[in-house]
Amino acid sequence: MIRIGVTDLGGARHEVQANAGDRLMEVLREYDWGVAAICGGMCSCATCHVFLEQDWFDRFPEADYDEQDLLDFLDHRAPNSRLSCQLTLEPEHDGLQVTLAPEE
Amino acid sequence: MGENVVIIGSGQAGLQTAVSLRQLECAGAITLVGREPHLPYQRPPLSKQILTGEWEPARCLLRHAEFYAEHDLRLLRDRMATQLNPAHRHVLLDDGTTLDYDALVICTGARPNRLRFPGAELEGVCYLRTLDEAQALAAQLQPGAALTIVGGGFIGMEVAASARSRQCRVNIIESQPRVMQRSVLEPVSNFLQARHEQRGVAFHLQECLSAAHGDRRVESVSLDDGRRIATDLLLVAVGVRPDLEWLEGSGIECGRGVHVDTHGRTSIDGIYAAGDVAETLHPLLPGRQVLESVQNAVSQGKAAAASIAGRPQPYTEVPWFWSEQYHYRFQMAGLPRPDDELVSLDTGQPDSLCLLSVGGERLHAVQCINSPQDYMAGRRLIGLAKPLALDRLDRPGARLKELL
Repeated sequence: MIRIGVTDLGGARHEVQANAGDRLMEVLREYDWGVAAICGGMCSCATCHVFLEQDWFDRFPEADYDEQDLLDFLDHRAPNSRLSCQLTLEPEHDGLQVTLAPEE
Repeated sequence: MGENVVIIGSGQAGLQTAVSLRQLECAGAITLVGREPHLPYQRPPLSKQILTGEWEPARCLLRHAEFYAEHDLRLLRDRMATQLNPAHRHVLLDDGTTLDYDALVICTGARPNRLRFPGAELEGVCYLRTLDEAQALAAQLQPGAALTIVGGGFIGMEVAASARSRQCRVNIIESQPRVMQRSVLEPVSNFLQARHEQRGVAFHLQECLSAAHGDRRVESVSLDDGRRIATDLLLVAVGVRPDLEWLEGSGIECGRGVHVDTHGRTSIDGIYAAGDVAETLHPLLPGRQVLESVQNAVSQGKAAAASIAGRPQPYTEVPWFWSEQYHYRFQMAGLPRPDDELVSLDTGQPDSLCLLSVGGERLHAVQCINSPQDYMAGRRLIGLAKPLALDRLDRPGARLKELL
């Protein structure tokens, strides 16, 4: 079981649980306060944008070309931005801290 | 607000309406009525990851099973509405029960167009709209099996790609001169058809199915010109139509779909519609449109919920859509208009495409293959609806985002 701390758009903190192999977006879209993830994880819509705390950011594989391209277009993009549909959770991500990005 | 809301249809639009109502702090009763035995699920993977076997069916679910009780959403499955009575504010279900409502949301989606032809009843003739249908088709896509698809639209093309990845032999029969003609610009049709042909898919354009042949199970199909194609499976994928029949006699205003404004309101007070069933006004589009997409279902569901909650929020988002075939990601936003000029942009990337549909200096639509940055720029530009300085793109290496 992987525990994830999430800060939602209102600043409220939540703790959620996931399994190894889950994509972060699929975990987050389950909640009212979660991500919209309209395209269902096709890296097509950028509605699952999150910020990762820096030391966690470095523990995921780098964003590929398509994801970078979408991120480039977001008003709320920050150096620690990722699309959560592109992040696969592994056991070493237990304790991950993420903040949801505002809707564009 | 203690309103009693009934939502007919539990697909993407129906679920979104329910979720948005709770997010907007509507505390009243919410009942979702779904035709299928499953929990609400998303349809885009049905022609892709479910057919290829990449996904377990449960991964399509839009919310986990406990979500409904946790949010006090009453979900009725395996139930259809059969009649709407606005004067008494109730709907009749197929099991004879009656549901009263203060607000009703029509989210019955669309049903596949059925084709009539000799042999239509043979085993192996199938349609694809539901998870059950997708699983049944997936089970039959064995290596070496021959699949014939009537209809070269998005569903037909996506199924062809999925079937090729499972080493099936694929033929596509399309009555129009090019594939996906209704929705995409000609270079997109040509690009994707060529990629399918490179992978062994055979196209029969401007041809119609005349019959399916076989003893008990389909063994071959014949075309109008008399040719025969041996096949193990025949998928009919010739578009959908809004599911409206149950509204007959209700007096609600319909055209191709249920007429709604940008707030999801129909012609009858207290009744709303969203998703594939709705025919909507939209500030960026001409006339009324039935928009068959996840984005549209979500946006309209939100708009209907906002109206019911008394916090109206019109639907103004640029309509967008995507498809995946092999490793080609097609993305489009806006709708081309008949007299538009077609502009092709150099994407700077191999094996990709970016097309603009421009009229009166406005960008009406962008259609891209494997060029997400141009697509995102185009989507923004359409929403801005300002005159486009296209001449600034007349140099090598120019990118669409420079016009933002």
